[in-house]
Order: sequence, then structure tokens, then C-alpha cells
Amino acid sequence: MNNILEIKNLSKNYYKRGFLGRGEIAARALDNVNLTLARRGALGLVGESGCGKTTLAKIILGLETADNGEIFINGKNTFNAGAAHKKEIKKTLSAVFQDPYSSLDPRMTARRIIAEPFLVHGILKGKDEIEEESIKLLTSVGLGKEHLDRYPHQFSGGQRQRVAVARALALKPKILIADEPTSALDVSVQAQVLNLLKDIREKFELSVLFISHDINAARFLCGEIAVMHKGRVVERGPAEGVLENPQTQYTKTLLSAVPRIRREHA
Amino acid sequence: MEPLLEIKNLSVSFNRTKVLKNLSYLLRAGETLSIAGESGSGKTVHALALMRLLGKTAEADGEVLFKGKNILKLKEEKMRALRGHSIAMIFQDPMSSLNPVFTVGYQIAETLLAHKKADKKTVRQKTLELLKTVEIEDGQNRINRYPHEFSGGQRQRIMIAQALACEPEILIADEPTTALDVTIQKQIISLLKNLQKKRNMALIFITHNLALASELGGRVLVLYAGQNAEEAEAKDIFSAPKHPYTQGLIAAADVKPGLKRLPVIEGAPPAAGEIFAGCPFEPRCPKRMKICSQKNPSVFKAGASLARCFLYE
Repeated sequence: MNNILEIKNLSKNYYKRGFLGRGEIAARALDNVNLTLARRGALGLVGESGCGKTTLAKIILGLETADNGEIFINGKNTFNAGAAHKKEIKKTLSAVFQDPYSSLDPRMTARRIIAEPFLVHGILKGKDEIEEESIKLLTSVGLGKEHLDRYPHQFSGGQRQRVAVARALALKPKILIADEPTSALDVSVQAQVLNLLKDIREKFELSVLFISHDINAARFLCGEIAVMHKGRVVERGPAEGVLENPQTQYTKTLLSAVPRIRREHA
Repeated sequence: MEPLLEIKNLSVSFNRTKVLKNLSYLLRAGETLSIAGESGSGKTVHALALMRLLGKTAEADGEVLFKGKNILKLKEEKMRALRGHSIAMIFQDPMSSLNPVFTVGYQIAETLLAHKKADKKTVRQKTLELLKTVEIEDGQNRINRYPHEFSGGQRQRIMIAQALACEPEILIADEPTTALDVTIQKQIISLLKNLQKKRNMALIFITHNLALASELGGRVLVLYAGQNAEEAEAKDIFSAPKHPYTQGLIAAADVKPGLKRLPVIEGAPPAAGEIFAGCPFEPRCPKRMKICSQKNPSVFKAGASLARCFLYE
């Protein structure tokens, strides 16, 4: 198996509320989506808000259910999985979300935030063991032991996102889903987090699904790019191919709208 | 020619925490000035100071001269006659800056009624014209609709129509496209550009995205920690940035294919009001010298730029 993640004919509609139960379709969030993520590959999923990219991430993570279609992780169908298998899937997958201000519990220290996955999955039990592992994780995201007992508000935005990455790495996942991980950060800090994601991708041998509206960030991080529009994948291929020589009109429109630093002015 | 707007040593503090420090610049009629900075750099606070929309807890010092008159000292009635009439502003989030319980037509007309004592019929005519100006089709029908019936981009167009209603001499646009998708962003930017040219209106464009400032052209002022770090014509600042902060921002925004690592600015921007003995950028600066931690640099001439950096002393 070369693909760690395979998505086949995935569809999801959101419905209006009807008189009794469900009414007519309000939005086709995903319309027959097919995607594959190669083992240790990185796939950039780009598109505008409302195109369905976050819905797709939520379905993969099991936070939403699909109407139709299948998802295979390591060749195994996740939808008809038994309880034991489901837990296994949860260890394989982890996620970093957009807003580090709301994805970390303000009442927990970094120590508790990072230890939580260990406790939930019952992997490490001893206090010392957990502390040792937490320090290792913090070091690998560019923080250190001195940050263990700080609360989220004592970190800057970039540091918070690092804590979120450390938590995501705790269970040694195989697939990391990063949903707009830099868009809530200051411009001068975004590049740091992108570099970090690139480093940990190599160090932890991860396969990465990187979701973003920032095409340049996707190009930097991903070998492959898929463009989504209105719930459909309209184009996919090697990053340079899609960006240098887009085939569909929508991709062309999207690329031409990205503001660039212009050095010559009329 | 007398400048339209002259800002001299404008400082703003909240409870003695200074968030904007001695900002000075000139704006001429019909000119575009982009003010670029990250969150906490003071860019929005500066705009609110110009509009005199800061709350009671804020204290603004210095001078804001509009056609030679200091508007910080104006009586509130005089300021009300000016605000929305000669100086208008559009805000970042079109979702929350329109009132959901009034029709968009009413909200555009409100500005006209407040400033121009015109009768209802001409106001309606004018409102329809404004909707056309901001490229909203079928104005006759849409004038009676509510904000939630419009998309984000259209709502931002309605905000622009509202701001343009009294034909202001200065339009302040505070991150008008941050909440929008890139394709919509492009439309709004070109709309602003066209309107500004057609009406010979001065535009103060506030953004955190240097690439947008470069697309607009005109002049660029980079703010860092409440101070101006660099000021220059767009063509100069983007071809030869002088301040290490500007250099870092431009390098980070300009992703070239095949890069192994992105160029970064180490560290994080300071919290608003943090106090520095030296230059506020010193802890993050790749070119720091001994003097940088001891004294805050003043502004020096650096090629075609003005830069607040000891490298150009």
C-alpha cells in the first residue's frame, strides 16, 4: 500500500430544517470527492472559504459524518470499523487547527495539554515518564522545559501553535491534518510555523494533509496540490505543475488573485 | 501645495500604556498611503484617532491637522460635521459593521441625511447611484434588502458606498479585505483603486499584507510597536527595503518555488505597550549592534527611504 489515506466518492450535504426532520439541501459541502495521500507525502488542499476543505478534514477526523463514500486508512475502511479499530485510527490521525487561541484550554498548563492524549489513550502512566516525553515534544517544536507550567495566555500566538503541534505529535501519529495552521498568526511569525511543520514532517515521518487558502504556503510545504471549489476537487497534481501550468479556469482565477510583491510600479 | 492631512507626533495611550508613539506623516490630496503593520503595531488605533473614535479611556497627544486645523482640538459638533463627510472610514469586518435590522439602502442614506439635509427623493436617487458606483447590480430591488441577504464581498461594497456617500476627501480603509477570500479581495482592491483615481480622493489603506500595499502603489509606511519603522514610495520600499524589519517581512512574503526553508524573522512582535530601552525591533533584528539596545533610534534618511534604524545614522 503506497497510500496511507484514500478518500473515495465522498459526499456530504447540509440540509435546511424541514417541517418534520430534514428539508431540502442547503449546501453541497462535498460533492463526490476523491483524494489520496501518499505515505510520507504532503498534500496541500487549497480553496476559498466555503469550498468544503474544512468539512473534509472534519469527516476524516471523525468529527462529522459523511452521507456517502468511503475513507481508507492504511487500506482499511474506517466507516465500518469496530471500536478497537476506531481507537487505532484515532492514534494514527492527529490535527492542528486554525486558531491557537481557542484550540487550547485556557485553564490547562502546557504540561496538562500535552499529557492529555497520553492519559486518554492510557499509553504512559507514570508521572516522570509523561514529563520526560512532554519535554522531548516541547523541544522538538522549539520550546523547552521552562514552558511546561505556563498557561496558554502566557504564550505568544506562534508559541501557542507550537504547543498545539506538540500535542498533535504526542501519540506519534502517522497522519497530521493541519487546517489553516498559520492564518491566525502574525505575518512575521507565519514563516516560523511553516518551517516547523516542514521539520517535524521529516523528523516524525509524517504524512501531511495541509489545508489552506494560502497557495504560497501550500507550495512551500507540499509536493502535491489539490484545488477545491464548491465541494469538488477541480484540479490536482504535483505542486509546481498545478501552480505553473494550471489546467482549469478556476485555478487560474485563484492564482491570479493572490497578491504578490511587485517591485516595479508604473 | 498645502498638505490635506498632516500628522505631527501623534501618540495614543490607554491607561498610560503608550500604543502609538510620535507618529508623523503628510498626506496630499488624491494620494495613496498604505500603512502596514502587524497586530498591536498601532495601525488601527492611529485610524481611530484620526476619526476621533477612540473611547474615553484613550488619550491622544500631538496634532492631526486637516487642512491646517487640529482636529484633536475640535468641538464634538464640529467633528461630527467632518466625520463621515470629509473623512470617512471603512472597517475590517463587513459582517459586524452593518446593522442587521436596517436595510442597506437606509444605512447608506443615513450618512446623506445626516450631512446633507436633502429631501427623500434625491437621497433615494443618490443611494441608487452609489450602489451602481460600487458595482452592485439591480439597485432598485436591492436597496430594500437587509445585510444578511448579501455576500461578504457585497457587504464590503455597501460599506464603501456608505463611506463614499458624502464624497469624502480622505477615505480610511482599515484592513477592508482581511475577512474576504482572495478572489473577492482582488475585486475590492481594484474597486478602491478606481474610485480613488476617479474621485481624486486621498486613500489611507491599512493592512498587514505588504503584497497588497505593493499592488496599490503610492506611498508605504511600515509601523512596528507603535512607531514608524520605514516610510518610502512603494517602488522604492519593495525594490530596496532599508529597515531590517521591512526586509524580513518582504522576504517572508515572497515565497519562491523550490525553497528548502522560508526566511524568518525570529521571535514574536512585542505586546502593545511593551517598554524598550532601545530599538523595539532589537531583540529580533539580525543586524543588531551594540547601540541598538541602549537607545531608540530616530528616523534617518536611507537612500529613497526614511528608516528608524542606526544602520543609517
